[in-house]
Amino acid sequence: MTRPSIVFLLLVSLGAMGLVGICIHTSSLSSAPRSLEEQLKNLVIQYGLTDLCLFTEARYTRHPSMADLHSAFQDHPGAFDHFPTGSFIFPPPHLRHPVWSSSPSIPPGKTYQDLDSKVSSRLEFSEASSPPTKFSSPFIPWTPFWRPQARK
Amino acid sequence: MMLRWIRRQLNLLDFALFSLRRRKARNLALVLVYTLVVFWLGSVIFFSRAMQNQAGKLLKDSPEILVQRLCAGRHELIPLEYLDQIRAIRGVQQARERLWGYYYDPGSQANYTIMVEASQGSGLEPGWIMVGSGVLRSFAAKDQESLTFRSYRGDFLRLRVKEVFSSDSELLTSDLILMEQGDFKKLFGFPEGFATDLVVEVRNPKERSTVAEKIAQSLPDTRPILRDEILRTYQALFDWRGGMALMLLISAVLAFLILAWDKATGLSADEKKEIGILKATGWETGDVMLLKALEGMVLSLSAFLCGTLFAYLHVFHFSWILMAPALRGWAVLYPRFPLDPSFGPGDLAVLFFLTVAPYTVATMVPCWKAATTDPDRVMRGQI
Repeated sequence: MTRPSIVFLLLVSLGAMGLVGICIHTSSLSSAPRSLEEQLKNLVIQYGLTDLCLFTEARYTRHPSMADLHSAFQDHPGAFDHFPTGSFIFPPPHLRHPVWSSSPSIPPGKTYQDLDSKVSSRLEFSEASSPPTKFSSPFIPWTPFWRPQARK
Repeated sequence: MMLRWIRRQLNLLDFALFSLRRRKARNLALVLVYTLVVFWLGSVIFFSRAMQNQAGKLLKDSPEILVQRLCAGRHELIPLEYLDQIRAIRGVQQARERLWGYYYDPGSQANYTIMVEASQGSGLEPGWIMVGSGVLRSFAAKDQESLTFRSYRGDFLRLRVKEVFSSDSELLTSDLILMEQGDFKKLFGFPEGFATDLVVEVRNPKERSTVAEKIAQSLPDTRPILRDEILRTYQALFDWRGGMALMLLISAVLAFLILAWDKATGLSADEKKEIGILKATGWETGDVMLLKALEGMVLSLSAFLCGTLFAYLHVFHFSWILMAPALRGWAVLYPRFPLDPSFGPGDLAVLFFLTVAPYTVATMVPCWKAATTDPDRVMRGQI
């Protein structure tokens, strides 16, 4: 009679080989030139497309990278972000850290980021050295308890 | 010596398997739940990695710099005079306008992206359009040969479908309607001398950020968006450690924590009794620990292998059918597209350490506690 341990080890080996096979298959797929991929790339070049067509429910979810101020209150005062996708997608990174504004020649107060309370409060978390931003929102931005308060 | 060691491990594994078989129903239920957790975590990781990869590959050739105008914090139409100022910046190779917008069709309750073709490659004439497969699927049209739009004046504009984008390209074109410039202006009452945004091409890729900075300085009411930023948007969007994927992961991690917590809080009376008997019959603490580690490993490995394989099949062969409702939101029009498998051993390792390691640790702690206690007390249930 076959020992259960041998049967188990055989099954585990089979499963592990399956995973290795999947990994090899995946890497061979990504390295091979594919006509469909070329076709899609041509569409991007020809029509100057900037986003994937994933979430079509609102303009700022259809084109996340082109979104203006991807935030609540953007349509009218008190308007919460009511589309479900809006709670999944964060504001695009360039709203928080635009590559072109890294130079000190653009004063921080001149960027569009300060217009958006959600983006500004995120900036507060990530940039400890940045000066406090003025908020037009009636809500007080939450400061994490582990972050030391600035001395007055 | 080596052979003896292997034989000993096999004997212990046999014992562990028999021990698991004694509590068949309980362990089967455990493996099932564990597999589901691994399956869900694996699905999220595979899906997000594949989407990142797909977005990176496809949007690699998106416009180098896009210039939007902002007015009162909102995206506004940009005057075409800005083109001359941008062209005057050293390093700019080419600058052109883009006309695009959204059209809401009350019949289908869907939003469509309307775009004027950037190049004259397809030779669209007035009255003709090119549409994505999703448009024909959802647009409230009687036939598939023409679509009727309601213009900004309230009159109807009927445009004939010249071509339908291949269904393989739905990831980019599902809601796209491409039309001629005159029709676009007629539909939206788009003012002359304005564009939605401007596309700028730079001679030297290293100068992109410098050119963008110069644009932002010379035209302070504009916002340049670099290609890298578009790519980063999608990398961030589908980063499994944040954004959408994190939301999906949280539920799986919570379920897993409950499972691990249940194991960590203690052993059942049967298990305690078993450990006590083993200790009383001469088993060393190390042997008991090894036995329990093997039991945990059998459960973990079975759940990990099954969960991972099912996750792979779910994402890449069954079009992530269980995740689709979460991604669709309220969208009426949703693209149908296959995902290319793209993940590496690193992703599998992450999945392994997210699931197998915490479970194994959680099972070892109570076993160690029971194995180091006096067998008599363990069998009497005094710990």
